[in-house]
Amino acid sequence: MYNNLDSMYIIFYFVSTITNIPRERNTILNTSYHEKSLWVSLVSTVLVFGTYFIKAFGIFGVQSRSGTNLIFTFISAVVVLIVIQITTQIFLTITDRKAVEAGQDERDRSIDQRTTRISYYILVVGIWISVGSQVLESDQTLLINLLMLSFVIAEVVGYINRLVIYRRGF
Amino acid sequence: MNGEMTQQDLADRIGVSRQTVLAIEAAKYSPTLELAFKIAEVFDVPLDEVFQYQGVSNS
Repeated sequence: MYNNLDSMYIIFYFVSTITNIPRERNTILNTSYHEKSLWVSLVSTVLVFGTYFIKAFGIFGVQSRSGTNLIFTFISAVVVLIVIQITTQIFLTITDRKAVEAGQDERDRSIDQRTTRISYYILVVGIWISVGSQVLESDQTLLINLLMLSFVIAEVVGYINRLVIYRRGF
Repeated sequence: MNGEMTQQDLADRIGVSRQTVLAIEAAKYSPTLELAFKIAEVFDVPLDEVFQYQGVSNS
């Protein structure tokens, strides 16, 4: 029967192809609460903000949006992301209340510390690119979208980095 | 060690998640000294009976 574990396995299969992480099915079953939470954050952020940036920059033939249209699209994206994350986090909490109460252990904290630096560097580069865009073209909408894109890319890379380290170890 | 307890039992006694115990057993995570001592204490054996250092070869 198709279920949520199958969905996670499909996504994991795709990621493991890219990152060369072993593809044993019980890997999913041995996934900690914090790791599942990261998967939720990664997938929801990519889907929601991926859609937003496709509309904001007018990629794949989609007509780009500006002004109040763009503001509404952004607010919608944030609301959808919040709803998705809260709903799925509540579900994860119900299924593993003990892990939530226990909080992060030393391995979780260590992985967080290791992955923060690369996200910071990506964010800094993105900010410089965003500021540089103002030299070439003084469009405030472009500046704001580039700043948002930097933040999202930094977060997504952080999530992926954490997930790879959870699987590969260090 | 010798099948005395489950991974979850050990995890509960040393204050980490079962997945962390799994990672330690699979050599995918090197615990802190404090955690290593806790594990040795749980099994009531010396530290070097539980963990052995395998240095990196420079040749």
